[in-house]
Amino acid sequence: MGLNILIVDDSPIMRSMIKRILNLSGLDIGEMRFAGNGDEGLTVMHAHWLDLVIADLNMPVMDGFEMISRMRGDEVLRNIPVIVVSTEGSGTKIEKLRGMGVTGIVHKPFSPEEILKAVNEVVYEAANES
Amino acid sequence: MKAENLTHTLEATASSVLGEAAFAMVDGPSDWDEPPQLLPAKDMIAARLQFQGPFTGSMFLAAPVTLAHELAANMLGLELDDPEATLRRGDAVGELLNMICGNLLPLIAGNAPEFSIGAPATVDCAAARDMAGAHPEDLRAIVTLIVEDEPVEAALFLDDFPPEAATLP
Repeated sequence: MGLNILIVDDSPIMRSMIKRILNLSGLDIGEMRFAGNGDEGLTVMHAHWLDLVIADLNMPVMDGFEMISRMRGDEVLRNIPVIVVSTEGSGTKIEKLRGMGVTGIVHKPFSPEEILKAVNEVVYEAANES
Repeated sequence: MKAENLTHTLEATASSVLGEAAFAMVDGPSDWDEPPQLLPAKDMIAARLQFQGPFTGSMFLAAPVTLAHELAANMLGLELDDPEATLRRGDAVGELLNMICGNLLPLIAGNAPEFSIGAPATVDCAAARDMAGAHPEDLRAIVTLIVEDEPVEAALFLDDFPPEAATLP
């Protein structure tokens, strides 16, 4: 069964870029869903089964940190693996993400290979844990 | 920090992002024989964003409409005649600006400080150019790059920039 993936980014072009990379990757993709901020992302997460969330950090309404924090506090959502794709280079923020259990961190601009490497690692990690 | 170092860092960062994210060929000032002629504002798509942190400021990026279309197509892997490239050209300029800013600030201030980078917004290019003229004291770096043979403008404005915040010489 294919991976059900949610892409959370306020930039439509970034959502389209990641979608295209995943579609061309050869990965077994199930449903791909999209949200423009963390709040919309949480709504999608509660409505659909997801195997992976790929999220930006800087977003209006609810940023990526808040979204991940709420996921970790939610019994249903806490185990969904998250990859962060962001321009953020601050060591403090990277540490904060690691502390929230985010292992996949991809820095913009990225190559398709970097996204795929992160997806493979995070999904493999999650499969090993379950 | 010396102004020329800031300008050079902006030039290098913008060139790198445009090359990596949009697969564009970029020539900077060191490659020119003479400065390129800027296009009329009406032929440009411009984006601006604000940031806050150890120092606050804003950035501006403007690209000719035709180039913005090409950048959007490159970023999305589309043919140039794909209507989605037309739809996404403003967003492409905004996202490239976001990446330039996100990569530039740690080069100026180091990796430790946290910045909050606002969402890029498409703005009127003439107004953005006027801002540079109206607030010369805040304009810390401005560069024109030749991207795929067309001029792209990038500028960095800093409202309150304590010299001790800089890690660059």
